Amino acid sequence: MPNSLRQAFCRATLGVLLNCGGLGCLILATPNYGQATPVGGGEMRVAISSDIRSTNPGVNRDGNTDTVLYHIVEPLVAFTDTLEVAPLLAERIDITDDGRLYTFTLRSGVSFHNGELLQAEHVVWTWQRLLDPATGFRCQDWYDGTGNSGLKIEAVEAVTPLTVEFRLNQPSALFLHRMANLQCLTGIIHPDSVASDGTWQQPIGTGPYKLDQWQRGKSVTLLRHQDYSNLTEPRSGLTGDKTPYIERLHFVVTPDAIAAQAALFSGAVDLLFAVPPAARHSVAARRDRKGDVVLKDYLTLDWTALLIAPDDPLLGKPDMRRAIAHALAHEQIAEFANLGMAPANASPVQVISPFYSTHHSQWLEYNPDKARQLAASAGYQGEPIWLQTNRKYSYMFDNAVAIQAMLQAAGFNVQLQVLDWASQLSHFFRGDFQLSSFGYSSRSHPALLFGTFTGDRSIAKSYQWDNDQARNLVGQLATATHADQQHLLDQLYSLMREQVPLIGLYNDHNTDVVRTRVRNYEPWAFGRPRLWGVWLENKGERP
Amino acid sequence: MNQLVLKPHAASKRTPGGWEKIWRIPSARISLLFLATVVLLAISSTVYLPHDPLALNIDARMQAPSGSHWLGTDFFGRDLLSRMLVGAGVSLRVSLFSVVFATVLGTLVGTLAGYRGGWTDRSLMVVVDAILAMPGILLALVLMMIIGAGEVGVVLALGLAYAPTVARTVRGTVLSIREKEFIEASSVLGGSDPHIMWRHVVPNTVGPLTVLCSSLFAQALLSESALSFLGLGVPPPYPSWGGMLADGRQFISQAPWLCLIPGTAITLTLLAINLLGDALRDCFDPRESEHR
Amino acid sequence: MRYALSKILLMIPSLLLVSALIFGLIRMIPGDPAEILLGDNLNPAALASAREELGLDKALPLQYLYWIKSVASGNLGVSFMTGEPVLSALSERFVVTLQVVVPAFLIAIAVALPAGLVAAYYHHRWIDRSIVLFATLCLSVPSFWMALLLIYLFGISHNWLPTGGFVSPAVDFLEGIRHLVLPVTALVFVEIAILTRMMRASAIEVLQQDYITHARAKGVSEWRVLFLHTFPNAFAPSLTVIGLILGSLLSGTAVIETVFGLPGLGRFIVDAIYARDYPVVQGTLLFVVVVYLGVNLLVDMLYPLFDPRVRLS
Repeated sequence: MPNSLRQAFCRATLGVLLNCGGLGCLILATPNYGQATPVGGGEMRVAISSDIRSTNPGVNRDGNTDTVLYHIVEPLVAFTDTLEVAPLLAERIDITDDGRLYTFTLRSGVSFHNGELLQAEHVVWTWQRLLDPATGFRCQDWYDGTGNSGLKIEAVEAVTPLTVEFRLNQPSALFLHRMANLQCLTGIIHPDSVASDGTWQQPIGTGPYKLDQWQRGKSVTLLRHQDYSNLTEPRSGLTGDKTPYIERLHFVVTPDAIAAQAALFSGAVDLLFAVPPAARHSVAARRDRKGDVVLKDYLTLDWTALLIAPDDPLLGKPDMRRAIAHALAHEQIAEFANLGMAPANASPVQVISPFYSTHHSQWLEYNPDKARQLAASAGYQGEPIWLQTNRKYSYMFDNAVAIQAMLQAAGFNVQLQVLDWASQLSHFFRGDFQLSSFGYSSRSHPALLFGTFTGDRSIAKSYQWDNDQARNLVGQLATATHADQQHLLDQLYSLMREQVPLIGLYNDHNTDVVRTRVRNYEPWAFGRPRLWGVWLENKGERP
Repeated sequence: MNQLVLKPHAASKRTPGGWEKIWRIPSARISLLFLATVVLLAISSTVYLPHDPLALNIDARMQAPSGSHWLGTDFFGRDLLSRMLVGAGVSLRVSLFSVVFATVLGTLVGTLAGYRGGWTDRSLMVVVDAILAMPGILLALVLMMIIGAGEVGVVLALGLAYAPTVARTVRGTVLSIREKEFIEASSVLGGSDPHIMWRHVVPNTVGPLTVLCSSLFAQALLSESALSFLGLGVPPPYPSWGGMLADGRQFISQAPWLCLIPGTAITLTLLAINLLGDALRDCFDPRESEHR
Repeated sequence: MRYALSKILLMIPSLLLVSALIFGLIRMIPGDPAEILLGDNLNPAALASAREELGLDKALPLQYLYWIKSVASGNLGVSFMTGEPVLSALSERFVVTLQVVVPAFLIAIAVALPAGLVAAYYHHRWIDRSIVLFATLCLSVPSFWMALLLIYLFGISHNWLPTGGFVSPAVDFLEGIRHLVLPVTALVFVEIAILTRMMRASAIEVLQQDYITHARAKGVSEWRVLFLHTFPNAFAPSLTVIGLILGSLLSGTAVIETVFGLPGLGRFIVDAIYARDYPVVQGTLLFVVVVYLGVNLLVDMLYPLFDPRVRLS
């Protein structure tokens, strides 16, 4: 394992970042509209659906918070477009053969927003802060030995001014994956980000943008980091060339989707990201009519699924679970919810993952008659079955409507129960549902996705698949080599087809929409914008 | 706040010919006919519908109104006309039942408070005032989240949110009736409390209540739409007009009819109810004709 | 003054009850703030520490007492989600709500009072009928539907006005006004409708009074009859309703604010309810109730100024 990782990093450091696999290439396609030479300056406005929670990375966060903050702070490593981990603030990473000692060599000349140069001591300080329970780092259990994998960072030490050592209690294939994680951003910050009493002030990072102003409920403004030290490799994921061209980034809180669309059409915002397929039609119509917006389509790593209560006296029966699977026309659900823009995918191995193969495109066939037979043999007699969903995430709602229609057509008396999202989530964590139309947000590696729903239900009811064989295979994934991982993932999926722990539906299709004056913008699989390397055609258009 | 209380004498002035008088007002006649049509359509939808309102049709999504789909189709390719017809029933039923629930609960509390007076009255009114001081739609939203979305949830939530208004009105009416001689006479003659309440007090509140109910009905229809708009309302697949409006709104630029049609239906129905309410007020309660 | 004081004292039991209601209701909704706060990164240890941090591990009555104690000392606590003090957050949101509600309210008064008066003057004539019909129509258009139509007409079909976001007129006056046009318009029609109908009704009543007949008999001009004799007397009964409307408007207009992306009080509460941000929901709802009761108290106090027949006792 360690060898393969090292190989991956050698490749990365050599600048061979784009190991294109599967549909990942789709995202990398060069834009076909007027390429021009980059120009600096101007202000770009981006609509965000809710205000950020804080400016404290990895501590008080949600999706929009992460999006704003990864423009400000940078971790040692980051994901590439193809979801591999590559160096960012580190120049190289050496791993000992036992896989327990990671030595990060930092790039020299990287400056913080306050002008100071990045040194090994800053990395040590940042990580000690993250591992201190008083900080409230959301993923502390990933690194302190209390989590599922038992991984623990035993020591973080500065060896020279530009090298840092991380000593682990066990080898781990996922350590760097976690370090690169977006939700638990491990960006290196300057100690002045925190007041002398330990309270959070503001993020002083090394990223291409620095925080200018946060007007709660209204907007967040970032300014270009003039001395940003960029990598020379091409832009990829959250690493590579991240030169900031635009002077000011203005994230405007726009909760209503219709209002956000209207703002885009009027030019009040320049970018709308992660537009769901249902709303794509109207922006496409605008493009065709006025030509002032450009659509960027992509498949995400988000995975939507129908959860079936494992402990339910009726639904817990294997025949009943298979019956439900046979009653659902997979392709049609994907077609309905995504207007034909995303293929069905029952496998946790995402369509754009390098591990995806035809093996993962096979699922139980649509066969209502068989569904009826199986349901009858499971003793189902038409009693009502409740399907939970919510209106906050329209795809979960649309899936639920389609699923209900299909299951009813196959003789299942399914009723919808529309909850608010927090209630549904609460039911999910307590295992308090029969059927639930659900979604798993982007996981960078299929192993992480398997890990979120496979496990011991006596520890957490949120595990949908409590099966010894499955748990064993997921456990092996954490330390396996790349080739072995493929084999394990294939095996896991075969087991899923037998047991139907849950029914995967598809990986979401999203669209980012930009005004034509925005140049060189590219979306990526995480469904969030990256605004470095982007410039404005007529800079200074707005004062 | 006392100015809000409908005065009781109006009720006692009620003449048997009230409904005939209403029929003579043109706006009320048109409103009644319109509402009757909506009700008839809603009832007939249980027998006949042009299409299955729940059937998904992948090849006919978001089609503009046409010969085969008179009002077009929605995001799932479902026939909008059929859904509007079924939705009429759902919306009217939900509004009606929440008003009935509010009226029953409010009348009980109001009569009790007004008739008993003293501490019963004072403590009940503190509760009523406390609820009245909270924004109604937010209260209904919270109640919905507690009870759970569903027709019953909407009915209970709206009913609980409106009951205090009814209670206040009824209490005011009861208070002034209580002073009237015929009740004193009745109690001198040895009538029991429940008997007096039932025979003399309750009938006298009917007039002001009818007027109040028409305005509550309009508010319930509106609030159901607002709840759907905020993400909770009558759950699918059976549609309410408010739910359809909320669903259609994301397609306003590509399929405006999804939003225009339910919105128009709600507006026209509300208009009819409000006009009818005005007429009721003129007939039952000519003096206090505008206090809501 | 003594009257006001006694009124305020009478509010205390109501307020205590409201506070208990709010506290209880929000906790009866399923869903745990700690879970929402942690989101994707949930594990039992993190959950326990988050619950402790938020003070959710204590017994409910104790939580309530702590809250009431801190409210009594003027501290509404801090938001679970953002860590922002609730009081400063809600005052910021309240200022936004004010900037939408007050113009809408003033416009409504400026239109509705004369319209109601004119309708009453021409009672049962076509001009009265059309005013009433128009007002009833306005009353029947759901304000959020109006908002959607406005966005469709002005924002999507024609690119005339901004359809979302908030710019403070204090920062950029012209832009601020432009951003306020649509939300104010969406709100104003319903207010006009309610006020017109009410003004008309009380004016009709006043016009039937003896003193108006006397004034007319004495040869006072119709204009003076309408504006000097009828208006002040008809306005007084309207005042209570005006108070009620203003009171409820100030609690924010959640739907309109959501549609137009205004960071106002209504949206603040709705977002907080969905996020189970208990301190924000409790503090803001309590604030809203106090404002509502305050406005109505003010109206009670003003009433005798307009209607000398009423004496406060």
